[in-house]
Amino acid sequence: MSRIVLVLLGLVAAAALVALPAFGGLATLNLANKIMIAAVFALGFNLLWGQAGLPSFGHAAYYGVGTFATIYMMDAIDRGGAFPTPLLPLVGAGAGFLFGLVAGWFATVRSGVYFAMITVAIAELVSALAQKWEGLFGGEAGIRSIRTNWGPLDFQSTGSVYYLTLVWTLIVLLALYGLQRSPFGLVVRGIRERELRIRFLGYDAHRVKTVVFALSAAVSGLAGGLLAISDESASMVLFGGAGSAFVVLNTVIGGAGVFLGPVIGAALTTSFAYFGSSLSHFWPFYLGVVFVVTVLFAPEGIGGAILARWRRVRDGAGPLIGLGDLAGLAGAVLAMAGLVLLIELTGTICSEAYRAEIASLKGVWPPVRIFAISFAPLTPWPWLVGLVALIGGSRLALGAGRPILPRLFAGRPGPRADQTRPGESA
Amino acid sequence: MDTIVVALLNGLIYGLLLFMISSGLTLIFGMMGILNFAHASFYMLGAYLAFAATRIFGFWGGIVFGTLGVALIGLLCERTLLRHVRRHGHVQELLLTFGLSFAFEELVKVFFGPYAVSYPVPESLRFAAFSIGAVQYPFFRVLIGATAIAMFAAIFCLLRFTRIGLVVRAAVLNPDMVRALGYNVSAIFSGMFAVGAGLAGLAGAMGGAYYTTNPNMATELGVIVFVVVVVGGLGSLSGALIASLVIGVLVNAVVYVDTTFGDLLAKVGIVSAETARTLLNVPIANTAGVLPFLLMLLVLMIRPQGIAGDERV
Amino acid sequence: MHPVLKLVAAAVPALALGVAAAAAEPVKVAYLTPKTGSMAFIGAMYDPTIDFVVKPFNAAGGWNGNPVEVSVYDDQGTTQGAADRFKQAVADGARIFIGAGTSPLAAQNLADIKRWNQRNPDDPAILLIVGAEGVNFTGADCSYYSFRFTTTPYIRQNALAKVMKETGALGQKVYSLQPDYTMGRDMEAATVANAKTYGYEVVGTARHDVFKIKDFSSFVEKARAVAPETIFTAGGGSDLQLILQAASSAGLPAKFAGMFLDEPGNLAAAGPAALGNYTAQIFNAQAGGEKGEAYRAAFNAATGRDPVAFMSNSLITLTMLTHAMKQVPAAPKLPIKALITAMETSKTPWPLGDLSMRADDHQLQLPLVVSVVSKDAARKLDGTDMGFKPVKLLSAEETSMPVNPECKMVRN
Repeated sequence: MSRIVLVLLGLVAAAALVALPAFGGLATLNLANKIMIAAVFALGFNLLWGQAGLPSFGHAAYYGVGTFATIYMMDAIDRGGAFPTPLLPLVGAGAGFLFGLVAGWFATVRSGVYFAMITVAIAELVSALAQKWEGLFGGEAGIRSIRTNWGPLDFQSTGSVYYLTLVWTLIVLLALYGLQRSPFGLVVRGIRERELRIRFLGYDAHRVKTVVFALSAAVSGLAGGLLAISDESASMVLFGGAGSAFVVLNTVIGGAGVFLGPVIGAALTTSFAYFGSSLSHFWPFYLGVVFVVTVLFAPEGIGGAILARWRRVRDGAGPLIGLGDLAGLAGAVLAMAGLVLLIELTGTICSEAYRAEIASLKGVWPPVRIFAISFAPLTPWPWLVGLVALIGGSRLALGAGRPILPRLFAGRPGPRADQTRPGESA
Repeated sequence: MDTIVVALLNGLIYGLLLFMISSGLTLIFGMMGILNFAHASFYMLGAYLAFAATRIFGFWGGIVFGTLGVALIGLLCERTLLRHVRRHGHVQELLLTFGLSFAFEELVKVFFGPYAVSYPVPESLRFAAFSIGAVQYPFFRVLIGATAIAMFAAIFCLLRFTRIGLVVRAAVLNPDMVRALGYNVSAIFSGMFAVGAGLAGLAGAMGGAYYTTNPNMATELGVIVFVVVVVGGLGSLSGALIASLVIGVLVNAVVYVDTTFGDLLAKVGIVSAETARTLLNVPIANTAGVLPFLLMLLVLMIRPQGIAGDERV
Repeated sequence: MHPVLKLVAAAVPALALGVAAAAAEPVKVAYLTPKTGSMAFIGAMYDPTIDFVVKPFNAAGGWNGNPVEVSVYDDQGTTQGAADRFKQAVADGARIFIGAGTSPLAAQNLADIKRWNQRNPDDPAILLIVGAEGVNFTGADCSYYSFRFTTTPYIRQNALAKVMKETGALGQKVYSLQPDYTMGRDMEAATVANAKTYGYEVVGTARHDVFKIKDFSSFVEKARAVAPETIFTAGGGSDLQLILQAASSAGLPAKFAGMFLDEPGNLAAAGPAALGNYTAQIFNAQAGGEKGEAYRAAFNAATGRDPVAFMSNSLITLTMLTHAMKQVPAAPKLPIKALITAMETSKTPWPLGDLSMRADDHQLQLPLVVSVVSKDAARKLDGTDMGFKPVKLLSAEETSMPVNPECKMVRN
């Protein structure tokens, strides 16, 4: 039964993905493109983290290198070069791979925190180089190019970019899935679990880790190439810390231990940034809170929670959604609403514009409008409501000592980080 | 000669400030194994809390408030958040602090807005401590240096010569045994975390006044504190002190170097004089900002345990 | 009432309103700026300026009865964000874009505009650059569809050197301390190039990494060794604050001449260290006499603060845009090319003197005020006891620099 459901779901999803350009406008298609690009980037990152257990905090370097390489190739095509436009992401992948090979050889000499610090150092050095080397990276102006049509294929519209990105995303998904199930993938996971044993089996662990690093950098570079095709520009800003931070955020929120986890995380945070930025200027704070809550209560990420729930239902161990889950969810939503109310109130009355309004009204505090509702900030009510919602909601979600939320996410008591392994999942 | 003395002094005092910030980080790592990504945020929170309290309690009151306030925030973070992910391992702890640093940076903007705030060193403390040639050396810099040295001495003595220090060191080595002896190990760890955070808060309260207090101060400082603790050897207090001083002096000294990378390499004979003048015409003095990262890379490659870390890496 | 009926009852007036709104189709303007992330302090500057210009314009009838609707889009300070917000805004129907970010962000906006116009020649869009000072925007990358509403490091350095020379503040020995990116390198080039014109000697140059240096004391000592009288810097934000702090606490006798000293927060953060330093300002009420003071008072009454730094550029941009719109005759949809022509040909009144847009390279021709940080300034800023005292007001003719030969504008 479950297999049929899965196949049906897959078909519906595929149809929706193919038909999207017919319904979605420019903005929707661009959002879809950016989700897919973020997803490919996060998948590349997770190859290193989820599979090899190596935490990189400087992955923006390989992403950016991929973007720049692809822009240069696009420029070459524009001047009459013969490279086919649909294969452009391979240029980004190639550049990422080569750079990753060198960086990875150095970085994988160490592991754990020391490895992370090497990746940070490399990213900082590349970022500084991009600022100083104007000839190659275009300085503040950056460099730009234009998509060229290839044979009968037109690449001018956002819709065509969407299909190109979709195809490449699927290729990456299939390739990474294959890699994960291959003997090589097994060796990589073996290194994460117990490197010494793998060495006793005759593998050169450093060489394997270097190759995984380079492959991860290649996928990141490919994502950078897709970005180049979508935005038709590259800038030194790409090497900044934000890129490296967001890919970690995406992967952890989605779930590093689940194959599709990074895709889920990328979809969530990209949409959040897209819609949230027009609603509130404090959206990064809410994203940070969501991240912290995920780390606290769903260490396997949202993908991990979905997978665990799916297994529970399949084994007949529980319903898809129980009463406790609903209460927990309601509590979580209530708590978030309370937090948003408190933060928006505080942020507004602390803002310069609001103080100016008070001054112009000669000391009267005007009502604060949050999402079309007015609140009187000098009365205790909005603050009380916010506090009660935050505390009550959290208690409901946590089940007052009998945590519902952890169960809701993990699907079984006492989730442990090492119980779900990517090898068994997806 | 005067220039060299002043340069050296500037480097040493900047290094001591770096030590003030990073000592808490290395302490927390050494004791609890947590690489606290939110540590630079504690530095920022210290500056903002001190700034907010200065209006009520005055400058010194603000410094005390900033220190204690951040210690309290650290305590709360440890007891309500970090404690619960400990069983999932150090990477999960690291991720949690990573999220906290993200949230703290935005939280500061909610309360204090996006611009820098006016948190200056008071007029009464703006005087020269002594003069070297034509240079009047500012008192507040000396004060920062002195505070850092006092801090190092205090922590060192506390851990080395007191009963509390003994219990703490024992709790790190063998928590179960210490628990069996009747000590509350979890309270010890909470206390350690609070002290580490408070040290960053103190550094922020002083550094924020001497330098600037703005929402980007954590990000701008960000990675350099990690460089200090890695170069010094993760978990080693004296290592962090040596590394801080080395980095402080190095980034100050490099500004005076009047040659380019190309010239340097050409002298050694690696590249031609032509390449040196064109492609590699990057003055070494311009690289003060990235030098610490080069140093960290070098250390991680050659001696990953750092200057004074233990050999078990 | 039945719930469905209730819904219908609510919908009918809403529909009627929709019809009424369609009669006066708003002219959509997208304001792209960083509101979050590390650049949020830039975007925060522009909040008060939009309503101040647009509200009275709409109240007076807008563009032939159509109101102007300015929507702010948060590009998050990243080029990716800028590209995304551009597509979002273009889908929302905006064809007039105001790019109010750093040079990399404006470069992304410009790339997006150029691509859009290439692909949609019948439905062009224009870019009004508020705060990007990169030379390229009116040089190699100049475009018929983009306008720059601020200066370049060359214009500001020239104005500073000119006035400081006249008042004898400049001295013979000049130093250049720059952030190590495009704008800093331009400022350094301008400082070196103007040495003959204003009779000074560049005794030294240094560059620093951007937002990476906490302690500038060694830079200060290095400068002290060559005893400069004036130090030019294009640094901004915390870099500038830290440089001033380091110089002041070490007692460096030189004065600084900068571009961005009047950004909000700088005086507050630098404290007394800011005193005696020079900056080239876009607007200074005291320099504008009665007109300037009236403008400042009106702005302050509406927003609670005086216009400083790039706020003034945003005011200029919006004022010139709405002024040009008045000269575009009624049509079903605002004709972009007619708007460009109106922009190039009209003179816009401004408290410090008339503003115009040079047709050859779309560089704003504007008066500049060279000011010094002083406790005697008419207006104190940032809650400190300091403000900007005007030294001299330079007219648009005096600040103008020749057209960059790299600008090859294709006029269509």
